[in-house]
Amino acid sequence: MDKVKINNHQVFSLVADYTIGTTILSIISGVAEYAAQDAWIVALITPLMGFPFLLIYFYLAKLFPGKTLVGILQDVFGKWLGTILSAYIVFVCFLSVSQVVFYIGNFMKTEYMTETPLYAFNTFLIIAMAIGLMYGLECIARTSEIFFYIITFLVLLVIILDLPNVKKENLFPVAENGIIPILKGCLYLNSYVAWPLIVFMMFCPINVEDIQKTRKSFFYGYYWASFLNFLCTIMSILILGATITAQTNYPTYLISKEIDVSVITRVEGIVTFSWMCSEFIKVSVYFYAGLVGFTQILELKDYKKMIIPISIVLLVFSGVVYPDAQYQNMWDSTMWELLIGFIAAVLPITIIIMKKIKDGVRHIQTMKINEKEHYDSVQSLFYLGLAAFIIILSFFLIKFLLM
Amino acid sequence: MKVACMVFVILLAIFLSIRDIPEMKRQKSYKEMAVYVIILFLGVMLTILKANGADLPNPADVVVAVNSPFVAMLKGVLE
Repeated sequence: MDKVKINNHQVFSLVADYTIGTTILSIISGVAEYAAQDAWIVALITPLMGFPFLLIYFYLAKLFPGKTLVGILQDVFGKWLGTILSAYIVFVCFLSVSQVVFYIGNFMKTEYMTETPLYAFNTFLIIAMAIGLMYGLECIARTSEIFFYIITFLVLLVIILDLPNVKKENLFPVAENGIIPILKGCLYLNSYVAWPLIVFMMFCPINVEDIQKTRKSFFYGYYWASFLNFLCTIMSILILGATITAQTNYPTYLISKEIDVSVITRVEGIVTFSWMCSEFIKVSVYFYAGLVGFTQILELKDYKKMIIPISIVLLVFSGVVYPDAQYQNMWDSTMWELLIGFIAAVLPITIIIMKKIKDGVRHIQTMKINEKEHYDSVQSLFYLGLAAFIIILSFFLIKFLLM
Repeated sequence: MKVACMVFVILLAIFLSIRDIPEMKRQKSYKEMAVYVIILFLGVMLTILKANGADLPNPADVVVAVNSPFVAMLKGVLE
């Protein structure tokens, strides 16, 4: 067990900052690409779609108390397959660090300093992150508490100052192309808002006092981030219109350029600053999760010695992961959904089903001793079959609807 | 710039080794030491290669290779 413990409010702010990062600046245009002027409906109903998955994660933590995702996988799938699967997840965590760092460097390079090489920005971010993690998780958690208020205040400030620019005819017509584009947008946004929270299962169960008591603050953080995301989406649509929102890379940055209230103009630095803060938390959480998984797989004593060597490798790869804009587009629109969908949706459900089957088999083995247990196991097998049937049915239904 | 980058990374690696490896030796954690040295060496090699303009393989291609069968299967849902 880790000695470092974080409290409920820190979990809340970590989840909120982690979810705001990336989403608030660059994902909105992707959503507008799918759903056009209905992007605000997507941002409104996606939190509800993601909610069952969070419940699944907490149920997972209840089934395996005190175990992280790596431990759970090794417990359920056995030593070898579990290690391969958890190595895949750790690999994805480290890959995400490189990608998010690239995002920040690329943003600074395209919007502010076009002559500076990409590695200059990436190096400073990686150094800051490495120093933060050398101090430990509680340092990152406390930082996120401060950053949370800064981000919330600045984003709300931008939204309020932007109110005079609103053109409400941009919202109409509502649901022009039917429900299907909205659902696709929901899937896309879900893969950036709700599913990445599986990363918290890599370290949360050993770093909080009682995981079930943090449930409420976890959900509050998730909903607060979704609310800010919704505000930014609807303002982008209202001010820029669907076409420009879909075409530009950073819609929120663009709407902050539009602000013109008496002497207050050109305040886009505000958005950049708050975005950098949340991205810093996002990178740190990914890196910490990857490090904890890494040390658990290799059974090392402490993660702190591994920080600098790994961050050198990640720094080099931060300039390699996205060779061009086309690759980035392909990755963000299809690959990431599949990847995180496997890790965060298919894998937890499979784990729960496997666990139930194992328990059922154990029940049947001890059946002769007690007749009541036999009844219970048969009942649980029946429920299991029902659940599997519903899952398969819903899969075919989705496929049929969307083909 | 190229030479400065290489020299900086090698100096950093030497400094880190001097700082960390004796401590690990004292604690007799040889596994940790092996992992540490391998990753540090990898980092230095990658930095030198990248500084000299080599085309490094993209780690994201591993994920693309693993997931490409499913992309064709779920094309209607994703696009």
